[in-house]
Amino acid sequence: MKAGAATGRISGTGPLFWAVTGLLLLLVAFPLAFIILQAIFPEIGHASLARPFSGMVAALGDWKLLGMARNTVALGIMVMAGAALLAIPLGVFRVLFRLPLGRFWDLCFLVPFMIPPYIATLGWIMTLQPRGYLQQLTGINGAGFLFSIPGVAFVMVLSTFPVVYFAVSRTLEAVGQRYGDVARVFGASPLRAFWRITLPLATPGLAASLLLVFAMAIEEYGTPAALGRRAGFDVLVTGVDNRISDWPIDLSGAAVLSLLLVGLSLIAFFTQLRILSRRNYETTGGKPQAIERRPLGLWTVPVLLFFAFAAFIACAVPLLAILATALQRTLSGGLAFGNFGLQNFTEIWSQGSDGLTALMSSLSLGVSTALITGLLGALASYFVVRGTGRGRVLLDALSVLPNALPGVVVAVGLILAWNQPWLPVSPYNTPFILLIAYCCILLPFPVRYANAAFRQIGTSLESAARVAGAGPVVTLRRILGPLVAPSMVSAMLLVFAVASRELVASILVAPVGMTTVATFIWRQFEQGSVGLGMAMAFTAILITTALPLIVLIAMRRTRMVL
Amino acid sequence: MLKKSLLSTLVIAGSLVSVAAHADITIYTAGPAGLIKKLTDGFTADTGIKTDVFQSTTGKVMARIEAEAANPVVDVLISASWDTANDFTQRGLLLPYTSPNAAKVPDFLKSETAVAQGISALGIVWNTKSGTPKPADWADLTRPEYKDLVNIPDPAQSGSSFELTASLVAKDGWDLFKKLNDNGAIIAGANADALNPVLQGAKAAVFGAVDYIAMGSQAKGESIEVIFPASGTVIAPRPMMIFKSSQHQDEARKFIDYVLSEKGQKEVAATYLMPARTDIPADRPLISDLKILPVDAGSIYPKRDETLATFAKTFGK
Amino acid sequence: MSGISRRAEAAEAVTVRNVSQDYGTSRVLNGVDFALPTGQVMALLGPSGCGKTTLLRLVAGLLAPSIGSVGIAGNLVADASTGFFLPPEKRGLGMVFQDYALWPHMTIGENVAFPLEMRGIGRSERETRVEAALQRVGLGGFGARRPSDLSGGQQQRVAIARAIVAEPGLVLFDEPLSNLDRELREQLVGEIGELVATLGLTALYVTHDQAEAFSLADSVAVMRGGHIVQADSPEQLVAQPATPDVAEFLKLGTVVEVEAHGDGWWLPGAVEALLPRSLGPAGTDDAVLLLTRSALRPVASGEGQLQAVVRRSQFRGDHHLLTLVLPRAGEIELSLTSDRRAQPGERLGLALVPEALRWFARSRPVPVRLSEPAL
Repeated sequence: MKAGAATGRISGTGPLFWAVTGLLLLLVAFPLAFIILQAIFPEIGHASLARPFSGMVAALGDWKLLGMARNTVALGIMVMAGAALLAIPLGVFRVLFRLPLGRFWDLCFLVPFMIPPYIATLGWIMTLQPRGYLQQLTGINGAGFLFSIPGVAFVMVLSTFPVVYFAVSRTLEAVGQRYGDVARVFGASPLRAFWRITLPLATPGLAASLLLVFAMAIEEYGTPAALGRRAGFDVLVTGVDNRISDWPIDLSGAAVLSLLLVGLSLIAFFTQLRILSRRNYETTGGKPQAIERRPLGLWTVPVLLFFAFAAFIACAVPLLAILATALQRTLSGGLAFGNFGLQNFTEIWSQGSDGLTALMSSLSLGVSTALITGLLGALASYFVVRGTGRGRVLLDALSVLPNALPGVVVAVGLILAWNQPWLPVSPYNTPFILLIAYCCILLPFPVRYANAAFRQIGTSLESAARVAGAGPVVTLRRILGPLVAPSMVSAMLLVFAVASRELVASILVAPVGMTTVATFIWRQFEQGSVGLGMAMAFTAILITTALPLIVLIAMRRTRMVL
Repeated sequence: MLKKSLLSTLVIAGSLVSVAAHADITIYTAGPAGLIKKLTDGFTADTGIKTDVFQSTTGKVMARIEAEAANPVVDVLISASWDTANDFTQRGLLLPYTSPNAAKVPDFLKSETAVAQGISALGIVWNTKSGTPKPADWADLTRPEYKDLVNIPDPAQSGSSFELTASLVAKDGWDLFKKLNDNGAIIAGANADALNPVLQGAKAAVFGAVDYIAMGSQAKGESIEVIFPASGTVIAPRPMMIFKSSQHQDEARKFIDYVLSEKGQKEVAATYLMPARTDIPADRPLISDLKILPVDAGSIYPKRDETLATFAKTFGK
Repeated sequence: MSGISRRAEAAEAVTVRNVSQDYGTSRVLNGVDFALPTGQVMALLGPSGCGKTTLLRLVAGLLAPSIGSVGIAGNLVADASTGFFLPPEKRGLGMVFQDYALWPHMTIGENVAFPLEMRGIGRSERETRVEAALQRVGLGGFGARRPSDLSGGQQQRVAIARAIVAEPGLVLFDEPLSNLDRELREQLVGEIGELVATLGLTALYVTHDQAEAFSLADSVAVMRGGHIVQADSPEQLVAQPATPDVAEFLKLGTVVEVEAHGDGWWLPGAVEALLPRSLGPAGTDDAVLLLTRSALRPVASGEGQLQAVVRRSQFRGDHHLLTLVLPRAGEIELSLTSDRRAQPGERLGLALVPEALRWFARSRPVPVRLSEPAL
């Protein structure tokens, strides 16, 4: 239609739009297409379309599948419930009350997100198993709890609850105490006003963050693999892993299970979108207003203890366990004075060591991923939020789809897709394949941040620049870019932290001859050098946490992170 | 901001390219990381042929080869399970090659298409500080002193564990495993998952751990010991093979020759694997020192699924 | 684009020809036609949803017309029939937005300098012109501050400075004062009027406030439902409203439908004629009548042609606004001004001033009168 064509011309960014769409198709749709092909045609890896659907029938006919699917959903729900129980009170106390050391607690709750879940799990195992650190120090043995289904959920809650904490704080800050105060004028008690007014207003933001936790929980591999297997608790992700790492390899079975997982994540994701699009009081409330925080009074000490306890189990225990393991000369020597030494750290930092190379590879991959996803995410989001026309829907779908793609699925898809012999050039078996994998997995972070940022910017700011004589690209660069930059920096720092320790995809697609931090650690564990692995883990956590934190503190935006 | 980030992305991307240096042959290995590094370094120093290495577990290496089947990347594969060599041979994917250096490798450790790099064996790994008596045979771990203190690597996740399980069952039936279960032994994932708790003392012993990893830890000062049971155990020769699809077959052959050379075999011995060549000394018990259980591959592999299912049922998984 | 089809009358700063605009399936502008001569200010006046802002955005180039063409300074800038469209940055405009639209990450000075920068003007000249523009709006020396440090009125002054700094051939105002309180609004209307006069600006000014439109514009286009109903000078609008709608929107008085019976014009349900037949149009039995405020003069009870009862009386500073009902002539409310307060329930006589009555044809679509603005 003429109108549509003309509007396209107003934006004047057609080539850029198609470039971004093309890149996303390559990043997201291309590998996913091959997963679907693999699920249908088991021989696709041999460039053959023989025996279509045979693998699918076999995989779906497996009676264990039902149990795995049920376990996956159950785990997601348990983690969601646990995160809600822990994070909502924390968030409420943080925002609505005058809590001492507020910013410090925010920092503490950022840390769990920076500890790779599989490392945190190992830390917990080292702490709670018989003769673990807890028993060595206090005589208490927590193995019975840890190696159980609640134990799996517990460890996963600790690594995901910050998502909910920061969402609750952000939403409550936007909603504020105003509406609750109105209720009090009309006769509601403070508690009633909170339950009936303030909490319901914060519900959409809260529900969305809980669904995000659900999605994270059903995609997590390390924790259920390390803890759940012993409790006989198989989930879909471990099922996928079994099929691609146990002889005989069953790629089409893995692809079918992956698609099932993608389906589950998509349900969670669309539910989240629905909730947010229907009633999101956060955005209508506009800018956060100054909140009149209530004093805690007699409750100050108990509430502080609660915060300290949460910070201790979520942040201190795993970190201390990692550090203790890294510092011991021998594990069997235990926490004895003579058994401590720095040799694991010196081994990593010695000149030309594999550890150092791995660290450098991971850091440069992390920075590249952050820059690329930041740029791509911001542009994609710009076209989705501000664009018109049909192409926008495709872009929207492509930029959020990776939300529903577990790392292991992306990895298998990338190998299948990029190792086709007919491709003239391929990033396969170069470091770029890792970059592509990370970009695909992490793209949703910047997109989510950019969407929120662009929605907050009034369209007239853009119009004003155009009327003042700036072309679309200049407008993007001079006006919109700088305005979304702070949000994008937060998103990119998060991407950096996650990309520089990504494990699941790295193990599968790392090019030959290249080691990343995560594959290095994993290999050390495989070879029995737990201490060396933990020393690397600690170093990596330190670097990937400290770097973003320094930037964030400089920007005074810690709470923007999640 | 756009320009700056574009620029720095390009710079970093450029530096990534330089990481991926061009290599002549690509080796996939499930072996110890330290060993392959020493072997390839020595090989490149001797021949000038550059190598690229992908090192992981046997399962993950296989997954990668499967996924890459349409366009193979691998030239040389070193697996931890002879079964994979048989499988690839049957599918006609391997290049027949007999290295001149394989003359001193016993016949049961080589075939037309594969030759052992080295050999590991399974044994009991026991924590000397665990306060339990030193076990001497598999059955000892069913005694009350080891109640709740035994880890068993999952035979579903490790080829050699499966062979051990199947061979013991073929010899004596399921009785041993039922007693282990009654005694609180648990299935603990792959080899590393089973071994690590023993290091810290959470468990006293691993039933059938890969010996060289434990010996390496012992050498680093961990208070553990590897015991080869009197009633016999299984060995896991680690086959090396060259793929027919390789574009660098000459270089690949030279690599096999190098690993089987005296120099190469000494490196193998230094990682506590048994060298494939009988004329290379090693600071550990050798095949001739061990009692080897008969493994009838022809009869146990067809029943793999059935055996694994019975095993899982025995341990209530 | 042939040179001929691109040309429009050079004397016109803006020409909008037969423009329609669709959003999805709904048509928000329908066949709009007008021209704005150089050096004049035209107000687009109408209630919200009448399409006035859409029309302004079409001129700005923030929208492309679905049908019709737009020309600026004699050059065609958009033509739906050929698909030609000139993006906003190529149209050389200044624009003031309802929400100010100051870029929060730039200082006041950077905001105002932006249009100059886009036109490639050098730094030193930019600085002088920015300061001059800021001084014009009474904000000299504010260049280094941030938009967030300023009050709403100050922010809108900065936005005005930004719109005029590059001396554009056409300035567009999109309800610039609707976010401000009344006092500030009145003050800024005066200031904008002064600026427009001293700089000789050509401007299109969108507003829903009649007083603003009347005090700033040389001509006012009254819009209803996607049409321009009437475009005239403010005086002409008041004297000769084209339709009862225009009269009602401009609050020129009370609009009633009347019927002719015998020798009188009657309101429906009345027991007494409202007016003698001779005052209305001949040859028709029904009509719409605008009783302007000046058409009725209060006199003592019992005198005059009509008898009214006071419903309420409001003091408006320099006069009293009376709301009246006519108990015998029909249930309608009239309002008129008086120099004295009246008590609710009080009876009044009303004298008619026939020259101040306006008659419209009833029930037939009134032909839209599109007069060119007076020169």
